[in-house]
Amino acid sequence: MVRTKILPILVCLTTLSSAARAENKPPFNLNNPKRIEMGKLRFETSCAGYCHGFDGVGGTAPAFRGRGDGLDPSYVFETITNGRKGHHAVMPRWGGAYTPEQIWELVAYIEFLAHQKPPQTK
Amino acid sequence: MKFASDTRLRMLALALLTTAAPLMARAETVRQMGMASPNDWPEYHRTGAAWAYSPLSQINQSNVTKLKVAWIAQPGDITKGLQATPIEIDGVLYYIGPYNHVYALNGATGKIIWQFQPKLAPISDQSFYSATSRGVTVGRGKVFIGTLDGRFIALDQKTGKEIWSRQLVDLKTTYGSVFSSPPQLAGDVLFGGTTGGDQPTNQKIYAVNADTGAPLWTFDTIKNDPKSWPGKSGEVGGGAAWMPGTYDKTTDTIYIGIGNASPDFYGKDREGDNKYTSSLLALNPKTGKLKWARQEIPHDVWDYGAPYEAVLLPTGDQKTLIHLNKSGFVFVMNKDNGHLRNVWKLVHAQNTIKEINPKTGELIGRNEAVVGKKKLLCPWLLGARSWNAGAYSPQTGYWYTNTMEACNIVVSKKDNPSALKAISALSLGAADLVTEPPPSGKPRGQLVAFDPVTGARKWSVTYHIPALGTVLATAGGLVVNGDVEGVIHFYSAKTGKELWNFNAGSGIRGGLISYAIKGKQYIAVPTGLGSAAVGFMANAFPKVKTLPAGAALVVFTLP
Repeated sequence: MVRTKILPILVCLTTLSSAARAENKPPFNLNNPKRIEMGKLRFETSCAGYCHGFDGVGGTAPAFRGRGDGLDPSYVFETITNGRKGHHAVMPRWGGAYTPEQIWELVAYIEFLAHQKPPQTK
Repeated sequence: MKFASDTRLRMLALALLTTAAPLMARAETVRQMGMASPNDWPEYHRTGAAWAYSPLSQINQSNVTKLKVAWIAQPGDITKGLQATPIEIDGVLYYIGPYNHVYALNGATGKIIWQFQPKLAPISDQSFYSATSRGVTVGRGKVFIGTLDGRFIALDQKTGKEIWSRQLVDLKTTYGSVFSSPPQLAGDVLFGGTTGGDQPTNQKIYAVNADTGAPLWTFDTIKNDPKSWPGKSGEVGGGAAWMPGTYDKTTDTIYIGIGNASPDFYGKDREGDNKYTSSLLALNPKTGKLKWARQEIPHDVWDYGAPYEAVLLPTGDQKTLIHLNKSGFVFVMNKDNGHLRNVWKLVHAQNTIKEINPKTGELIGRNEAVVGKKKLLCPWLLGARSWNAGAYSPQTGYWYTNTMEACNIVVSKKDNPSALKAISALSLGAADLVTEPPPSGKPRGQLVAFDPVTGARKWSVTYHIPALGTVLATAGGLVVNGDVEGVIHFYSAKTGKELWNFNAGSGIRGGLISYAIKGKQYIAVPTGLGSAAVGFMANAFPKVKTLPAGAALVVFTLP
């Protein structure tokens, strides 16, 4: 009896979760140079300064530049949208500030960085 | 009848004068102010003289090696570390952890007496300064905090129950400007400024009645003067008073330092001196009117704000004030009018300003970032020292402060307004900004003992990563300083010789204090690394990436 009640709820939640993730698809080609440039502008004022560096290398977080680990665009989108609570620092939630399209432009720039040459170690 | 009335008035006036006379006589000198309440740490810098000096000497050079941990308090959240400077009054220690979590503890045992955490508005999560909590203020039977959603709150000192809450700042319209530092008391006036020097907004200092929370005045740190701020540049000019000010009882004066101009590295749209950014202000607490202002860095284009402590010296005519800004030049001035007495250089790595005229304050030989070209600028945007204060010892006459010898490479750029929509956006005015070693060698930090008037170096110790905590000096002949790796160093105040140390496991970012309860002296050290500065340091000091965050208040005493 209990199982029959829980199962539809679980199915429903799973379906909702899949639907939510399905929405996390870019509405444009992430390789579009104009979108990458828009993302770069936003990155410089939102992400670079103290945290991720102007070249995608900086802070206590792993470098974006030259990651080469198949950075999942939807994962990046969700992280930017919801923020992340670290220890040394807090990544603010950007979902209240930027539209999904603007966040996808940030994703485009970060994906662009990920495919550049890795930084030289000092 | 009139005569009788006049006589009564005269007698009343005489009586008032007679009772006021002892009060007047109690008007303290700077020295008396700095040495007051020796068993307590009642204010952020202990007293309005901002010495960070404890007159206690039970713990001293001869027995410091015997120190033991008396107790440890943990705020329960380590986000951005433990940045607070605790307050101790009459045996109770008050401190604040991440996200404005306030605790009152038994200062001898660490036992929790009460705790309070405000329900922060969800928008506070969007602020660049989220979680950052630097202290509380205690007085008038209340504990005061500035909150991460733009309020001043007063709590009952005995119970921790909220007495009043006053919304002062709208995060939506100020790019997430919040109160990261505790507002300070000047009599019944509670005053303080917000973070947000890198935000494209114009900042203010706020004052309320400490007993009711009723607003009293605001002071616009962006001067309404088209010569200082052409066009609409002042509307995005920054000027945040983001550190606690001090109150000089001897003259009924608030001193408060003002942060950098915005956009940080692009000054073309704000040609002018950009008052009152990078200035020290002296204000009348009752009215908020300016007594005097000393702008130390006119037209700042390096992120060289001046929100740091104003130290009042007990020497000479007891009117000397020293004040540091991020440029690494220390301004020595008359505390009653801001007139210059000297300017001296704090660090070796300085290439943005060749010199500052010690008589006029004129900046000579400016080296600024340019558009489209990389420029090496020293010191870097974190300053020649971080915000954590130094300490002055009247025993030695030395001022002890941490320093940072580090630079950044900057390419200036006009910010695109369309990219500045988010409330946590930073208007740095830069297309590139990366940390870099100084031309003279490796980046490093030092703890230096200076003659505070001449700048003569008396001794120094070097750290391979700059220390980020506040220094403590005591009458026990000790200087205590915590490094970013978590080691708390106890030095001889006279010679700098290390006498003892203790590894707390995570770096020091807050303010050290000392106090005594029932004849027993304690030294409390907030440990736990965090803050945005740590991230910015990582390129020049890669080891910080490996350092654990944390948050624990470690309290020492003798067995």
